[in-house]
Amino acid sequence: MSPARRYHVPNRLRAMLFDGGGKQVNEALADAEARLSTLAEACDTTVRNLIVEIEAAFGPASRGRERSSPRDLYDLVARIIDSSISQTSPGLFEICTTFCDLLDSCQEQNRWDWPAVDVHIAALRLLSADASLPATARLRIVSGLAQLRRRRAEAGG
Amino acid sequence: MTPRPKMLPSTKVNLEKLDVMLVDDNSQGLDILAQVVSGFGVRSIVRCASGDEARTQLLKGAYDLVLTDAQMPGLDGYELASWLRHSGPDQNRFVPVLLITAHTRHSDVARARDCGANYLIAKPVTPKTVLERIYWVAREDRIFVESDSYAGPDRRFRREGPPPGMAGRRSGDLSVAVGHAETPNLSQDQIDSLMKPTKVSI
Repeated sequence: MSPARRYHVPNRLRAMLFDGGGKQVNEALADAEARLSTLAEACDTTVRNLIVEIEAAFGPASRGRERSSPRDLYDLVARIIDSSISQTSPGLFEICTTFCDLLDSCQEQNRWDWPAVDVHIAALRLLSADASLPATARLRIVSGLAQLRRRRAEAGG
Repeated sequence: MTPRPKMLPSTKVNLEKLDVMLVDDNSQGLDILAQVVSGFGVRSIVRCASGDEARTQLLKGAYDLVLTDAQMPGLDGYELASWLRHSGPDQNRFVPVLLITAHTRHSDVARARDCGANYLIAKPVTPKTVLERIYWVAREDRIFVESDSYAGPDRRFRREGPPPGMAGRRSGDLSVAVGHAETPNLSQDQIDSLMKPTKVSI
Protein backbone atom coordinates (compact mmCIF):
# COMPACT_ATOMS: atom_id res chain seq x y z
CA MET A 1 0.00 0.00 0.00
CA SER A 2 1.48 3.36 -0.99
CA PRO A 3 1.39 6.28 1.49
CA ALA A 4 -1.32 8.93 1.10
CA ARG A 5 -0.31 12.13 -0.68
CA ARG A 6 -1.74 15.44 0.52
CA TYR A 7 -1.50 18.62 -1.50
CA HIS A 8 -3.23 21.88 -2.37
CA VAL A 9 -5.01 22.15 -5.68
CA PRO A 10 -5.82 25.36 -7.58
CA ASN A 11 -9.35 26.60 -6.93
CA ARG A 12 -10.51 27.98 -10.31
CA LEU A 13 -14.02 28.39 -8.97
CA ARG A 14 -12.87 30.85 -6.30
CA ALA A 15 -10.88 32.93 -8.76
CA MET A 16 -13.90 33.36 -11.01
CA LEU A 17 -16.62 33.71 -8.41
CA PHE A 18 -15.00 36.59 -6.58
CA ASP A 19 -13.52 38.61 -9.45
CA GLY A 20 -15.65 41.63 -8.54
CA GLY A 21 -18.31 41.41 -11.26
CA GLY A 22 -21.56 39.51 -11.38
CA LYS A 23 -24.63 39.84 -9.18
CA GLN A 24 -25.41 40.33 -5.56
CA VAL A 25 -26.49 37.13 -3.82
CA ASN A 26 -30.06 38.33 -3.24
CA GLU A 27 -30.38 39.27 -6.91
CA ALA A 28 -28.97 35.90 -8.06
CA LEU A 29 -31.38 34.05 -5.78
CA ALA A 30 -34.37 36.09 -6.95
CA ASP A 31 -33.47 35.47 -10.60
CA ALA A 32 -33.08 31.74 -9.99
CA GLU A 33 -36.40 31.57 -8.10
CA ALA A 34 -38.13 33.40 -10.94
CA ARG A 35 -36.72 30.99 -13.52
CA LEU A 36 -37.57 28.01 -11.35
CA SER A 37 -41.17 29.17 -10.97
CA THR A 38 -41.65 28.70 -14.72
CA LEU A 39 -41.30 24.95 -14.09
CA ALA A 40 -43.64 24.79 -11.08
CA GLU A 41 -46.75 23.80 -13.01
CA ALA A 42 -44.97 21.09 -14.99
CA CYS A 43 -43.41 19.73 -11.81
CA ASP A 44 -46.77 19.66 -10.01
CA THR A 45 -48.24 17.72 -12.94
CA THR A 46 -45.35 15.26 -12.81
CA VAL A 47 -45.89 14.73 -9.08
CA ARG A 48 -49.62 14.12 -9.57
CA ASN A 49 -48.97 11.69 -12.42
CA LEU A 50 -46.38 9.81 -10.39
CA ILE A 51 -48.82 9.37 -7.50
CA VAL A 52 -51.44 8.00 -9.91
CA GLU A 53 -48.82 5.66 -11.38
CA ILE A 54 -47.74 4.50 -7.91
CA GLU A 55 -51.30 3.84 -6.84
CA ALA A 56 -52.06 1.92 -10.04
CA ALA A 57 -48.97 -0.25 -9.87
CA PHE A 58 -48.49 -0.64 -6.12
CA GLY A 59 -51.77 0.32 -4.45
CA PRO A 60 -53.87 -2.23 -2.52
CA ALA A 61 -56.09 -2.79 -5.58
CA SER A 62 -53.27 -3.44 -8.02
CA ARG A 63 -52.76 -6.99 -9.22
CA GLY A 64 -49.41 -8.72 -9.06
CA ARG A 65 -47.71 -5.95 -7.13
CA GLU A 66 -45.83 -8.49 -5.00
CA ARG A 67 -43.95 -9.58 -8.10
CA SER A 68 -42.32 -6.15 -8.35
CA SER A 69 -39.16 -5.14 -6.55
CA PRO A 70 -39.23 -2.48 -3.78
CA ARG A 71 -36.58 -0.76 -5.89
CA ASP A 72 -39.15 -0.11 -8.65
CA LEU A 73 -41.40 1.74 -6.24
CA TYR A 74 -38.41 3.46 -4.64
CA ASP A 75 -37.45 4.96 -8.00
CA LEU A 76 -40.95 6.35 -8.51
CA VAL A 77 -41.07 7.89 -5.03
CA ALA A 78 -37.60 9.38 -5.46
CA ARG A 79 -38.81 11.02 -8.68
CA ILE A 80 -41.53 12.78 -6.67
CA ILE A 81 -38.78 14.29 -4.51
CA ASP A 82 -36.91 15.27 -7.70
CA SER A 83 -39.90 17.29 -8.85
CA SER A 84 -41.09 18.72 -5.52
CA ILE A 85 -39.95 22.26 -6.18
CA SER A 86 -43.17 24.02 -5.27
CA GLN A 87 -44.81 23.82 -1.90
CA THR A 88 -48.35 23.33 -3.11
CA SER A 89 -48.67 20.17 -1.01
CA PRO A 90 -46.77 20.72 2.25
CA GLY A 91 -45.67 17.49 3.87
CA LEU A 92 -45.46 15.56 0.59
CA PHE A 93 -41.68 15.70 0.46
CA GLU A 94 -41.36 14.50 4.08
CA ILE A 95 -43.66 11.56 3.37
CA CYS A 96 -41.60 10.63 0.31
CA THR A 97 -38.45 10.63 2.45
CA THR A 98 -39.90 8.21 5.01
CA PHE A 99 -41.35 6.17 2.13
CA CYS A 100 -37.89 5.89 0.53
CA ASP A 101 -36.44 4.82 3.90
CA LEU A 102 -39.10 2.13 4.14
CA LEU A 103 -38.55 0.86 0.59
CA ASP A 104 -34.78 0.91 1.01
CA SER A 105 -35.14 -1.31 4.05
CA CYS A 106 -37.61 -3.59 2.21
CA GLN A 107 -35.09 -3.88 -0.62
CA GLU A 108 -32.27 -4.74 1.78
CA GLN A 109 -34.39 -7.40 3.49
CA ASN A 110 -35.86 -8.57 0.22
CA ARG A 111 -39.30 -8.49 1.83
CA TRP A 112 -42.26 -6.18 1.29
CA ASP A 113 -44.06 -4.59 4.24
CA TRP A 114 -47.42 -4.05 2.52
CA PRO A 115 -49.31 -2.47 5.46
CA ALA A 116 -46.57 0.17 5.74
CA VAL A 117 -46.50 0.67 1.96
CA ASP A 118 -50.28 1.07 1.84
CA VAL A 119 -50.34 3.68 4.58
CA HIS A 120 -47.67 5.72 2.76
CA ILE A 121 -49.55 5.53 -0.53
CA ALA A 122 -52.75 6.62 1.22
CA ALA A 123 -50.89 9.54 2.80
CA LEU A 124 -49.46 10.61 -0.58
CA ARG A 125 -52.93 10.51 -2.12
CA LEU A 126 -54.49 12.45 0.72
CA LEU A 127 -51.91 15.19 0.85
CA SER A 128 -51.76 15.71 -2.89
CA ALA A 129 -55.51 15.56 -3.49
CA ASP A 130 -56.79 17.76 -0.70
CA ALA A 131 -55.23 21.21 -0.89
CA SER A 132 -57.54 22.40 1.88
CA LEU A 133 -56.15 19.93 4.41
CA PRO A 134 -55.10 22.03 7.42
CA ALA A 135 -51.43 22.27 8.35
CA THR A 136 -52.04 20.52 11.69
CA ALA A 137 -53.56 17.50 9.95
CA ARG A 138 -50.64 17.36 7.51
CA LEU A 139 -48.20 17.53 10.40
CA ARG A 140 -50.01 14.69 12.19
CA ILE A 141 -49.73 12.49 9.11
CA VAL A 142 -46.03 13.26 8.66
CA SER A 143 -45.35 12.67 12.39
CA GLY A 144 -47.28 9.39 12.32
CA LEU A 145 -45.22 8.07 9.43
CA ALA A 146 -41.98 9.22 11.07
CA GLN A 147 -43.06 7.31 14.17
CA LEU A 148 -43.72 4.23 12.04
CA ARG A 149 -40.21 4.53 10.61
CA ARG A 150 -38.69 4.77 14.11
CA ARG A 151 -40.61 1.71 15.28
CA ARG A 152 -39.53 -0.31 12.27
CA ALA A 153 -35.91 0.76 12.82
CA GLU A 154 -36.09 -0.23 16.51
CA ALA A 155 -37.56 -3.59 15.52
CA GLY A 156 -34.67 -4.07 13.08
CA GLY A 157 -36.77 -3.34 10.01
CA MET B 1 -8.52 27.80 11.44
CA THR B 2 -10.35 31.01 10.61
CA PRO B 3 -14.07 30.76 9.83
CA ARG B 4 -15.05 31.45 6.25
CA PRO B 5 -16.83 34.70 5.44
CA LYS B 6 -20.58 34.29 5.53
CA MET B 7 -22.58 34.59 2.31
CA LEU B 8 -24.56 37.79 2.76
CA PRO B 9 -27.40 39.06 0.54
CA SER B 10 -25.13 41.89 -0.57
CA THR B 11 -22.15 39.62 -1.34
CA LYS B 12 -21.22 39.79 -5.01
CA VAL B 13 -20.73 36.55 -6.90
CA ASN B 14 -19.80 36.18 -10.54
CA LEU B 15 -20.82 32.92 -12.17
CA GLU B 16 -20.99 34.32 -15.70
CA LYS B 17 -17.71 32.85 -16.88
CA LEU B 18 -18.12 29.43 -15.32
CA ASP B 19 -18.31 26.34 -17.49
CA VAL B 20 -20.84 24.20 -15.65
CA MET B 21 -21.79 20.60 -16.28
CA LEU B 22 -25.18 19.29 -15.18
CA VAL B 23 -25.82 15.54 -15.06
CA ASP B 24 -29.19 13.90 -14.44
CA ASP B 25 -31.01 11.07 -16.14
CA ASN B 26 -34.31 12.80 -15.38
CA SER B 27 -34.89 15.56 -17.95
CA GLN B 28 -37.04 17.55 -15.54
CA GLY B 29 -34.25 17.34 -12.99
CA LEU B 30 -31.89 18.76 -15.62
CA ASP B 31 -34.36 21.56 -16.38
CA ILE B 32 -34.56 22.45 -12.69
CA LEU B 33 -30.79 22.61 -12.29
CA ALA B 34 -30.38 24.54 -15.54
CA GLN B 35 -32.92 27.18 -14.49
CA VAL B 36 -31.26 27.59 -11.12
CA VAL B 37 -27.72 28.06 -12.42
CA SER B 38 -28.93 30.25 -15.31
CA GLY B 39 -30.58 32.46 -12.72
CA PHE B 40 -27.23 32.78 -10.98
CA GLY B 41 -25.83 34.11 -14.25
CA VAL B 42 -24.11 31.02 -15.64
CA ARG B 43 -23.98 31.18 -19.44
CA SER B 44 -22.08 28.06 -20.39
CA ILE B 45 -24.03 24.97 -19.38
CA VAL B 46 -23.50 21.46 -20.69
CA ARG B 47 -26.39 19.09 -19.94
CA CYS B 48 -25.72 15.38 -19.78
CA ALA B 49 -28.45 12.76 -19.48
CA SER B 50 -26.18 10.05 -18.07
CA GLY B 51 -22.96 9.50 -16.23
CA ASP B 52 -21.44 7.94 -19.33
CA GLU B 53 -22.26 11.00 -21.43
CA ALA B 54 -20.75 13.20 -18.72
CA ARG B 55 -17.55 11.16 -18.73
CA THR B 56 -17.24 11.59 -22.48
CA GLN B 57 -17.70 15.36 -22.18
CA LEU B 58 -15.26 15.62 -19.28
CA LEU B 59 -12.60 14.02 -21.46
CA LYS B 60 -13.14 16.71 -24.11
CA GLY B 61 -13.22 20.04 -22.26
CA ALA B 62 -12.47 21.78 -18.97
CA TYR B 63 -15.21 22.57 -16.46
CA ASP B 64 -15.33 24.74 -13.37
CA LEU B 65 -18.19 22.97 -11.60
CA VAL B 66 -20.06 19.68 -11.94
CA LEU B 67 -23.54 19.21 -10.49
CA THR B 68 -24.58 15.61 -10.77
CA ASP B 69 -27.47 13.49 -9.63
CA ALA B 70 -26.22 10.67 -7.44
CA GLN B 71 -28.53 7.86 -8.53
CA MET B 72 -28.56 7.14 -12.23
CA PRO B 73 -28.65 3.97 -14.29
CA GLY B 74 -25.27 2.97 -15.69
CA LEU B 75 -22.44 5.13 -14.39
CA ASP B 76 -23.99 6.89 -11.39
CA GLY B 77 -22.94 10.14 -9.71
CA TYR B 78 -20.77 8.43 -7.10
CA GLU B 79 -18.90 6.46 -9.75
CA LEU B 80 -18.53 9.54 -11.94
CA ALA B 81 -16.94 11.50 -9.07
CA SER B 82 -14.70 8.60 -8.16
CA TRP B 83 -13.59 8.15 -11.78
CA LEU B 84 -12.80 11.87 -12.03
CA ARG B 85 -10.67 11.85 -8.89
CA HIS B 86 -8.79 8.66 -9.64
CA SER B 87 -8.35 8.71 -13.39
CA GLY B 88 -10.07 11.79 -14.79
CA PRO B 89 -8.29 14.02 -17.31
CA ASP B 90 -5.87 16.57 -15.83
CA GLN B 91 -8.06 19.55 -16.69
CA ASN B 92 -10.98 18.21 -14.62
CA ARG B 93 -9.45 16.02 -11.96
CA PHE B 94 -9.89 18.57 -9.18
CA VAL B 95 -13.08 20.19 -10.44
CA PRO B 96 -15.61 20.76 -7.62
CA VAL B 97 -18.31 18.10 -7.74
CA LEU B 98 -21.64 18.60 -6.00
CA LEU B 99 -23.66 15.41 -5.74
CA ILE B 100 -27.42 15.83 -5.62
CA THR B 101 -29.67 13.15 -4.26
CA ALA B 102 -33.36 12.70 -3.56
CA HIS B 103 -32.61 10.08 -0.92
CA THR B 104 -29.44 8.33 0.12
CA ARG B 105 -29.89 4.60 0.34
CA HIS B 106 -28.35 2.88 3.33
CA SER B 107 -25.98 1.01 1.04
CA ASP B 108 -24.87 4.29 -0.59
CA VAL B 109 -23.82 6.16 2.55
CA ALA B 110 -20.23 4.88 2.41
CA ARG B 111 -20.08 5.46 -1.36
CA ALA B 112 -21.19 9.06 -0.86
CA ARG B 113 -18.44 9.53 1.73
CA ASP B 114 -15.73 7.84 -0.31
CA CYS B 115 -16.37 8.98 -3.88
CA GLY B 116 -14.41 12.21 -3.64
CA ALA B 117 -17.27 14.67 -4.21
CA ASN B 118 -17.02 18.04 -2.48
CA TYR B 119 -20.53 18.12 -1.10
CA LEU B 120 -23.82 16.26 -1.09
CA ILE B 121 -27.00 18.27 -1.68
CA ALA B 122 -30.38 16.86 -0.72
CA LYS B 123 -33.30 17.39 -3.09
CA PRO B 124 -35.66 19.09 -3.56
CA VAL B 125 -33.26 21.59 -5.07
CA THR B 126 -33.60 25.19 -3.94
CA PRO B 127 -31.57 28.10 -5.34
CA LYS B 128 -30.47 29.09 -1.83
CA THR B 129 -29.04 25.66 -1.04
CA VAL B 130 -27.25 25.37 -4.38
CA LEU B 131 -25.71 28.85 -4.19
CA GLU B 132 -24.66 28.32 -0.56
CA ARG B 133 -22.87 25.12 -1.52
CA ILE B 134 -21.19 26.70 -4.56
CA TYR B 135 -20.08 29.60 -2.36
CA TRP B 136 -18.86 27.22 0.31
CA VAL B 137 -16.88 25.10 -2.16
CA ALA B 138 -15.37 28.23 -3.72
CA ARG B 139 -14.22 29.52 -0.33
CA GLU B 140 -12.95 26.24 1.04
CA ASP B 141 -9.29 25.48 1.23
CA ARG B 142 -9.31 21.76 1.77
CA ILE B 143 -6.24 19.71 1.10
CA PHE B 144 -6.58 17.17 -1.69
CA VAL B 145 -5.87 13.65 -0.48
CA GLU B 146 -4.77 10.86 -2.75
CA SER B 147 -4.37 7.29 -1.58
CA ASP B 148 -5.05 3.79 -2.85
CA SER B 149 -8.55 3.82 -1.43
CA TYR B 150 -9.56 7.49 -1.68
CA ALA B 151 -8.90 10.51 -3.85
CA GLY B 152 -10.63 13.82 -3.22
CA PRO B 153 -10.95 16.71 -0.80
CA ASP B 154 -9.95 15.89 2.78
CA ARG B 155 -13.05 14.50 4.46
CA ARG B 156 -11.94 15.41 7.97
CA PHE B 157 -13.26 18.92 8.27
CA ARG B 158 -15.98 18.59 10.86
CA ARG B 159 -14.08 20.58 13.44
CA GLU B 160 -14.87 23.64 11.39
CA GLY B 161 -18.57 23.11 11.92
CA PRO B 162 -21.25 23.56 9.27
CA PRO B 163 -20.96 26.13 6.48
CA PRO B 164 -21.40 29.71 7.70
CA GLY B 165 -25.00 30.69 8.23
CA MET B 166 -26.19 27.12 8.73
CA ALA B 167 -27.43 25.63 11.95
CA GLY B 168 -25.89 22.23 11.18
CA ARG B 169 -27.70 18.93 11.11
CA ARG B 170 -25.22 16.45 12.50
CA SER B 171 -24.97 15.75 16.20
CA GLY B 172 -21.17 15.90 15.95
CA ASP B 173 -21.04 19.35 14.32
CA LEU B 174 -18.98 21.71 16.40
CA SER B 175 -19.49 25.42 16.64
CA VAL B 176 -16.83 27.61 15.06
CA ALA B 177 -16.73 29.68 18.24
CA VAL B 178 -15.18 28.01 21.27
CA GLY B 179 -16.96 30.31 23.73
CA HIS B 180 -16.48 30.58 27.48
CA ALA B 181 -16.52 27.66 29.87
CA GLU B 182 -19.99 27.18 31.30
CA THR B 183 -18.95 25.28 34.43
CA PRO B 184 -15.99 25.79 36.76
CA ASN B 185 -12.87 23.72 36.15
CA LEU B 186 -12.57 20.49 38.13
CA SER B 187 -10.36 20.70 41.21
CA GLN B 188 -7.36 18.37 41.52
CA ASP B 189 -9.27 16.37 44.15
CA GLN B 190 -12.17 15.87 41.78
CA ILE B 191 -9.84 14.76 39.01
CA ASP B 192 -8.08 12.34 41.41
CA SER B 193 -11.39 10.91 42.56
CA LEU B 194 -12.31 10.11 38.97
CA MET B 195 -9.25 7.88 38.76
CA LYS B 196 -9.46 6.35 42.24
CA PRO B 197 -10.22 2.61 42.24
CA THR B 198 -13.50 1.83 43.94
CA LYS B 199 -14.83 -1.37 45.38
CA VAL B 200 -17.68 -2.88 43.46
CA SER B 201 -19.87 -5.63 44.83
CA ILE B 202 -21.01 -8.14 42.23
